[in-house]
Amino acid sequence: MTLEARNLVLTERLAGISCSLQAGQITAICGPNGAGKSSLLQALAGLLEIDAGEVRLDGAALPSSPERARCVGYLPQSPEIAWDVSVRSIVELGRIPWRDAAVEPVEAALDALDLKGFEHRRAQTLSGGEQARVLLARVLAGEPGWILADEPLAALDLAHQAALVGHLRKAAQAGRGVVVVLHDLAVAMNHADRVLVLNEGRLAADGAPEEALSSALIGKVWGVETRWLGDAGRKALATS
Amino acid sequence: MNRATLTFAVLLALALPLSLLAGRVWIDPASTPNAALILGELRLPRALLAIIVGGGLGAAGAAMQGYLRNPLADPGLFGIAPGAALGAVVALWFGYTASAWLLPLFALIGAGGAMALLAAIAGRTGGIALFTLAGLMVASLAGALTALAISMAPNAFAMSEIVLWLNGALTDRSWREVWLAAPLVSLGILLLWRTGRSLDALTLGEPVARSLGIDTSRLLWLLILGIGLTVGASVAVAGIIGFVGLIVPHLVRPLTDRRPSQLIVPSALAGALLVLVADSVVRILPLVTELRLGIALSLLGAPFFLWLLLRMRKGLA
Repeated sequence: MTLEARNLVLTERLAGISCSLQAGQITAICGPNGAGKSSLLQALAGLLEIDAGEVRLDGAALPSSPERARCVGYLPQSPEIAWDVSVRSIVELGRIPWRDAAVEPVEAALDALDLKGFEHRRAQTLSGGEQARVLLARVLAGEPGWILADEPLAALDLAHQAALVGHLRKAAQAGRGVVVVLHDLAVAMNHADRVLVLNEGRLAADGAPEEALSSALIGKVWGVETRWLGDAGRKALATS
Repeated sequence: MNRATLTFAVLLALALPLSLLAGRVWIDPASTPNAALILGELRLPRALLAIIVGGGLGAAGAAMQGYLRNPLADPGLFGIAPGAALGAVVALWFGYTASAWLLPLFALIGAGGAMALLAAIAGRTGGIALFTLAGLMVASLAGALTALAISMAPNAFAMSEIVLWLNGALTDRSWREVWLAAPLVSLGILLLWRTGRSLDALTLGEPVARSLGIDTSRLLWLLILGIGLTVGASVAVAGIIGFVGLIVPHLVRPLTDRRPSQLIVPSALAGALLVLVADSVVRILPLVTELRLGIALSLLGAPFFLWLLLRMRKGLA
């Protein structure tokens, strides 16, 4: 299972990006503000009309919607829940691409994110951490092969960040491809299997976290002098 | 069938016979002379028209609020009602009302023109902001042209005809209007009902809806057609009846899961109930001339709108 970008070009945002992502892994997309992270993610999700290049899923062109919606789940950067609907209703929206009302995937998604007992809570009563879990459960309910999430940790405290990373890891272990845009380089270093670093619409690095997020590269791309502290898997980034 | 649908269906079934008997003259089917004639030719078509018009406006309001994800949206915002009103005003201006078909026909043409303009401006991209702005623009253009027609009315009679007609009413309507509006409004409600799944997906925002496979431009077309048919046909047979589309979804929402798709059918039923009851009330009120239905509903609707704003302000504070 691969999700592949071939020379993606989007005026003023992406300047020819190629990469091949593997299912079963967490791939982090990092880079300074305006580097094109969200654009790359949306292009991979088939939500942007690109000027040139193509996205391929398992060697074939990315199918068009609604077929595409069954393969690729997308979690946007700033979550929005317009109406005060119940948690279960939100999670059930994940079944829309399948045009069914299957109960099992919804139950499984609620289970996976420890939302049992929460089903009847109203959207407006949820805290930021609960909301993030509910919205991820919505993606899981659609049983997509790929989960593309744009800064899912941005508004979460440490405990909720760790919990959500754990849920994403479980999804990857279940064989899904997980692609996340991350601002926190330490999270990317400690939890991703692979890191893509974008800078000004180009790929600045692509590889294992230790290589892609070396202090030298961070200095070059972000323009900040940094040093990694601690042991593998529990590293922290110190700025100097 | 959800709880809201059942509730409003039962209430409507109870209200219909009451509305048939209610009026300046209360009818006792056993003793009133010509009861069958009055019921069959005057009261029944009028009640059915209230149900059709209210149903269309209620469903249009629910779909509109779902699409714009805004509880303050009203189908009037789309510019279709003002477009239809302009068409009718043109017919009145030229005195084309000699044939009973011409006024509703002109109103439908006006509604169609507003729909075409909306589609031409916003239809291709399917963006919500552009669509709302286009609707406001069409509404203000049609409103300005209507005001122009009033100010340049050929004679005082035409002017008073226009002004009276603009405040919608169901007085002196017949089966002709029922047969004209019923199929158009029914088709419109059917189209709006079909948008339910897409409106649900929009709850999580436009990008998520698209990622769920929702074709947003198809949704926009369905909405323009559905609202055009329901609102256009309603204005064609009853004139401008405001606030129904705004109020009704708010009455229905607490009885549902608040999913936009769950709101459309019960809102149609509740809209039908509201207009039917309001029209019965204006018939009963002991006034010298009958209070116009459009005015009555605005008198009811505006304070409701204010109350809604106050409640929202409290929620935000």
